[in-house]
Amino acid sequence: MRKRRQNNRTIAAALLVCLVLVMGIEAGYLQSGVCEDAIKECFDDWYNQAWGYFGTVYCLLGYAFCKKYIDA
Amino acid sequence: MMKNGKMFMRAAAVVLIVPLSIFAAEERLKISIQEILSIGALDDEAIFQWTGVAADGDGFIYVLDGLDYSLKKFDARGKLVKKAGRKGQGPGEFLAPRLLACSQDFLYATDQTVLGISVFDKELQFKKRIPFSEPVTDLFVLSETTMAIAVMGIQGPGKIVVADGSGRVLTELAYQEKYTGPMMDSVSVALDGQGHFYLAYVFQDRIESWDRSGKRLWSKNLLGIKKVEMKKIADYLLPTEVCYKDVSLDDRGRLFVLAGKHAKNPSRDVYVLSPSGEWLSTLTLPDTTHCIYIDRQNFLYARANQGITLKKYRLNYE
Repeated sequence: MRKRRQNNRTIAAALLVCLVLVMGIEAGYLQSGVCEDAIKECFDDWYNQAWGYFGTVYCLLGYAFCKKYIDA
Repeated sequence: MMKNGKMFMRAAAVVLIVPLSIFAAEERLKISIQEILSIGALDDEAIFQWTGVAADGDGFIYVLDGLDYSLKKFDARGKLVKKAGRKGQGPGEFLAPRLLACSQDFLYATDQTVLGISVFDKELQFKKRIPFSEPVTDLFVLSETTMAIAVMGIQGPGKIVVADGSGRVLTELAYQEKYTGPMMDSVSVALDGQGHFYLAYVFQDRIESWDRSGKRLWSKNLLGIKKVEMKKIADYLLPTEVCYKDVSLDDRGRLFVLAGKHAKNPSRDVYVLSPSGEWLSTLTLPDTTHCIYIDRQNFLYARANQGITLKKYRLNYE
């Protein structure tokens, strides 16, 4: 009886750790994406495409700035 | 079952505890901050969204305001004394102002949409644009005539360029031997009085010190991150998680490193390292910030209210 209770506690603790890890990953996933969406739009913009290498530089610099400024 | 459960718990404990162990070490230096000035609030128009900050020896504070396309000068009490610039790509104009640095007599500003570095005097008069054809991720002024420029690696490895006031390259620090992809080796840079470079990698868990001859003095990873998270966007495989956002040095050459997403308090934790790379302390700012700046009087500047407010703190060492 005592052994079974210990087993249950161990399983419950393991499930809790899994839940915390999964929730942590999920929370990170929900917060990310703003800068990724922005750079995708930047690359797709015809003006930046016409700008060639400098358009790419502009988009990448914007992505780095976004990651630092917005993505906490 | 019992045995498997115990093994799982041990493995989970290792996963959770090991990366935190460095911060469980005893602090060698107690540092606290005391707010002494706050510029800009939700109910005023002093600052709309600042991006870069610098301060001079006379107590004036200079701010690049991204939403106002301007460079602003505040006195030591936080009163706006001058504003320059407007929306555009001409001389003295801004579309996306980003980095700001200052020397004894001049201010140096970058704009995401314009290659080169704009130079203003302390009265915010535009003086010239230093031609520089590569993307700049950080700027550190060494003297009236020289500056260190961190260059983002897009088609080749990132590097630090030391250039003069006309943009002529004096020397280069190639801190990466091979190219590992766009932005992978983006860094923030600071230099001490002995000419040592301090680099904090934006997307990698690496903080390094290099001497002038190009010799790496030390390398540290404080976050326990082994793998860089990447995502394919358009034709590029780009890193997605910021490890370190900025670096600055105090008056004794201690390195302050603003940590990004992996920190216990993302965009608020500042790791303080000795000049030889030993971890001394961790400082937690009250609000998230994208950059930190320590002036010559040892005041630390950081963001609040998502860029509407600039905070000035006194650093107290115990």
